[in-house]
Amino acid sequence: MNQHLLLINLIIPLIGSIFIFLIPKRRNDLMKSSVSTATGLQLWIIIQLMLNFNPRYSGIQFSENYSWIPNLSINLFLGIDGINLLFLVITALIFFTITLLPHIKKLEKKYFYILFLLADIGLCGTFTALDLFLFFSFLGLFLFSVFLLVLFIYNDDIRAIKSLTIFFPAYIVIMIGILLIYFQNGATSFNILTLAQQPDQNVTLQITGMLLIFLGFAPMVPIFPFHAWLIATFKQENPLITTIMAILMTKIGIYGILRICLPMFPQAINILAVILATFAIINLFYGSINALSRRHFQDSIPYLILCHAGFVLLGIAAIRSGAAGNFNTILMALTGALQHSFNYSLIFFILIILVYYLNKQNIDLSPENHKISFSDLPVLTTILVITLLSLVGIPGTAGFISQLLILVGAYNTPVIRIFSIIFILGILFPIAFVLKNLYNIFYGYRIQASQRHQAITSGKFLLIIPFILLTIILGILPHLTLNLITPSLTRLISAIM
Amino acid sequence: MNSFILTLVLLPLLTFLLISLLEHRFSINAYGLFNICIFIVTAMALALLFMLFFVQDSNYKVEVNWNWLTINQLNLQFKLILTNLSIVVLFIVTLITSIVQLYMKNDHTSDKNHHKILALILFSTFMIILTDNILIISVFWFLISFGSFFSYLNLNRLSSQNKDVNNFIIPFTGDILFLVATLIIYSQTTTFDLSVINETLRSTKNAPFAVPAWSILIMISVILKGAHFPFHFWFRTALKGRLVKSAIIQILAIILVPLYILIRLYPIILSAVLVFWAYYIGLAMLLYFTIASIHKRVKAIIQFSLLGHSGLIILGLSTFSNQAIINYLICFMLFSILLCLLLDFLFEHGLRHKSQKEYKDVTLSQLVKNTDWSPFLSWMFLWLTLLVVGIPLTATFIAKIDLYTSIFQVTTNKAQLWGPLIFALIANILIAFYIARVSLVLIYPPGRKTNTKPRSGFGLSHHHYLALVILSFLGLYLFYTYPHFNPLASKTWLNLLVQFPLSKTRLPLNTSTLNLVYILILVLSITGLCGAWFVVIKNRQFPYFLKIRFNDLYNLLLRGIIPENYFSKFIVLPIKSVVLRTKDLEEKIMGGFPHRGMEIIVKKILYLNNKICIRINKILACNSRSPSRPIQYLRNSNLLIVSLIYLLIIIIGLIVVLI
Repeated sequence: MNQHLLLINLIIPLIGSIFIFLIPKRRNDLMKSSVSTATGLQLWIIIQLMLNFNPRYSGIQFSENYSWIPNLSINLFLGIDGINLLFLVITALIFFTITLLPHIKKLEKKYFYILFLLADIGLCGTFTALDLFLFFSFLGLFLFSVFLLVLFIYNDDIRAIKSLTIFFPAYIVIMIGILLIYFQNGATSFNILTLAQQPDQNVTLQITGMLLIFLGFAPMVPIFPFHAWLIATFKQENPLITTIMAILMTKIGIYGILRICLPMFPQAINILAVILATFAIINLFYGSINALSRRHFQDSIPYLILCHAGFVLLGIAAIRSGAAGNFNTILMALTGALQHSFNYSLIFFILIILVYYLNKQNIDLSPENHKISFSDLPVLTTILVITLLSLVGIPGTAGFISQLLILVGAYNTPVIRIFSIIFILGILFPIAFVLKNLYNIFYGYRIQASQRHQAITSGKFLLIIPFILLTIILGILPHLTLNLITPSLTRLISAIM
Repeated sequence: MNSFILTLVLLPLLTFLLISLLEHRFSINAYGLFNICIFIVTAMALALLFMLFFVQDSNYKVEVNWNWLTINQLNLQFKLILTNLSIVVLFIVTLITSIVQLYMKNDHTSDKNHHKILALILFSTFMIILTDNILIISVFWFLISFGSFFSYLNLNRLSSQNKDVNNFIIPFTGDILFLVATLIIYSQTTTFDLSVINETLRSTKNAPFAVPAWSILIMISVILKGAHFPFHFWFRTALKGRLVKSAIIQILAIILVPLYILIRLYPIILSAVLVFWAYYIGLAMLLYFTIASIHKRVKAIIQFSLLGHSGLIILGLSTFSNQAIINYLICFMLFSILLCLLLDFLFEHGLRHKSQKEYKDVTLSQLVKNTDWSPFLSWMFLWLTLLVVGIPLTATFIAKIDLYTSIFQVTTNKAQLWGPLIFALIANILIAFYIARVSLVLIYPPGRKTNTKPRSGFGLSHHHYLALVILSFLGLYLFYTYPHFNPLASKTWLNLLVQFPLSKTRLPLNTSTLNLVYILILVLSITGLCGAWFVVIKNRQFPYFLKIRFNDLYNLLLRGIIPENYFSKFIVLPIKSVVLRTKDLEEKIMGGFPHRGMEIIVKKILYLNNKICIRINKILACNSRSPSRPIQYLRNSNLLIVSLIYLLIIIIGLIVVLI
């Protein structure tokens, strides 16, 4: 049973979507509960995977390899290691929580649920596929179903839909990159592990491939000029799409760079690390200054995501020390980057849900129309304050240790050091953002008594409690996740060096 | 013992969590009481520990190691060390916190956030004091910035549209610079452990090239976070709100913690940077004390005096006498809290009916207006003055002697440190001046006529006051210096100072230096006190005095006329002008101008001079005439607490003498 958990993880939502397809249109409750059941089962499976995962073994675990198209040597090859386990966990957790949110009922359409589950399959598939072709197919499934979801929900907002079309050229660029890798290796295998063991020695080709793949994943990370979709998505009020797009899409971008770029183009990434670090700084400054200048709290969240993607990029850029570099430095920075991409998913999910609740209560977090006050909404404001503090990496919250690892790692890398100093100075802007919002919270006007009780007693509000607990637990006991990550990253880095 | 230390550190955290989690379960007073109990228990435990172990053996040390995280080379461990230095600072911190909490026990009725923030700040301070890891210091310093910010928000919640909040970006910038410094240190030494870093620096002959870089960064971050010049304005922002509440938190956050961190990091800072810093901080310190001496707003006086004293301590540190400053730091914490308590009492009882805006910018003359003094309060202020100036038998005296002798001692070896020494000596006059001015303006309001029967003190007039001050100084000085007056003096000062557990690594002292320091401090302090008396009590004569000097100068320089009777012109007339207030003196001096046009110009200049002098007088002496209104006496409980602090300062002094 344990051997097939990954396959079951993909089959469950598929069965769920087929089941929903067969249910009559009027049985909305049944559809809703079947979506929740499917994602709940998925979460349970992921927990099983985590419990049975051997943290000391650095290789692939729970692997399943079936031949799919033998002529092109394409296999249905699934497996997990420390790198993708965390991404799977956060995906399952977020998908399950979204289904419990109350707004889903309002959509009440069969296609919506089916697309939602297809996106789930696509995402889980992308994170578990160890065959480039399979990875590419699952990525396509995810992008396509998300695009349809957007069409379905925001059919009147042309701008949001337009901004999402950037993923299609990106998808094609990734495809060209993958084909380049495939043909350079003699068109014998799409297996990621095999390809990673024998990277092409031609530096020019490596740089071309790296640039192609990196450009393809750039909108997903997101990196500065390609971030328009993120801002357009956050203009909407529905947190479903926002969450899927903003948090999980960024995970794909980072995962893609870690899984494909690092092992397959070691020399290229050594050369192009400076560019990564530059993008990291641009992301931080652009994101945080923009977040600071927004009047409404909701508008600043996408810019904050941009800014934290900068952290992760800086961590990845520390690979610059390359063959001559210090193994521990690279390991530290990469561990931090991976951990941070997990941590900030937790934090931003809480923020998005909080903003959704505030919107629902007609509470606006802008200074003029500010209606939330510490004394009137103690629970909500406490959560908001904890989340804001973990954004800047206060000790005791998850953000602290990952940011520290990234900064220490990047600082100890010779060329990246100067970038890391500029980056550290730029952290002042996120701090200023947090201070500004804390100020808004504490200087709030009083809200009416009727609203107060609604906001606090809403039972669904409790859904974010696990996320907050995780944020705090990982802040105090970071080795819980770090132990899972480190062996796989050690293997990855020793392969590169 | 190890678990005891952990419990000690975790007590404030426990308070913080309990108050946060059980917010609605109990009344606020219960939390207040709980908080006070925790602090008092901690203070008692520390005192006991000190008595049991550290007095016996000054090298006694307790260590707790808790390995938090290890990723290859990066090893994060909570290493807490309890030495005699840290235990004394911890004791003082908990003690003043519990005193302030006791003082305010009836005033917490609507504010439980204050307890939370105080517990958070205290926890962070404990961690900084106990840890030996520079990263932990950096992290908890960051947390202290947040605590300070939260305190500001909590106390100023009612006043909307407050633009000052932007000033809080300054301490956070300091945090980031300190983080950069920490990373540089880590990259050079591959460790965060302070003792290991120290050893690495000592063992290598060629210091790493990054030492200047991290020294400068640490220095700048202390300037930013300690609100030193030119960033002193954010301290004013932090001090907004109820005086005692903001003072206890901000004194810990802005004054004590940066100073303590400096004391810890001092060995890894480049000496050239320290010397430069001594000059910088010395000049800034003179500026602070000058502003504290002339400012009329009470909070500004508190702010600049605190900064000035902290500047003096940093000056002591920069001149490589880091052990000597601990004494002064302790005394400074005690008397600054005392000053805040007394002024807060006046605020609360004199200005309770005032609006928020008026409350923020209260001037000394406003306090005077609303004050009708009880004899007790007058005596409190009088003794506060003497404590801050440092009369013998108090801890401040010992601390001051300690500090100044160390600076003297170092200066004899390092010629470039003469400048800071001179700054420190001038500061001594200014300290005496500013504190005496505040007390005198409050005790003898300038509006009151001098010929009426004095109502303050136990029937003391200001002449008695001055005589008392000077005589007490002289008498006690004699008592301490000459063996045939004092049975204790058979032990020399040298022995007494060396025996004090904190002063183990002092440089050898000689008696002539000590005597020189005694005399200098005595003369300078009396000068400052007399200056204040002269300005505040004799305020009417002040402009005339300046005017006469100006005229003499004019006659001498421009007209080339030496006064006929030099002695009467330069010595008798000014004194007469001061004592007798004769206005017609002006005409005597002005007589016999050769030229009409010149006379007009001179009269213009004299008129301007007069205006400036009157203005100066108004500022310095808070000269405003208004009837006084009676206020309540100190409440019994407050009385007890204030007396407790006095006793403490005296007891510490006595302990030092008797050990």
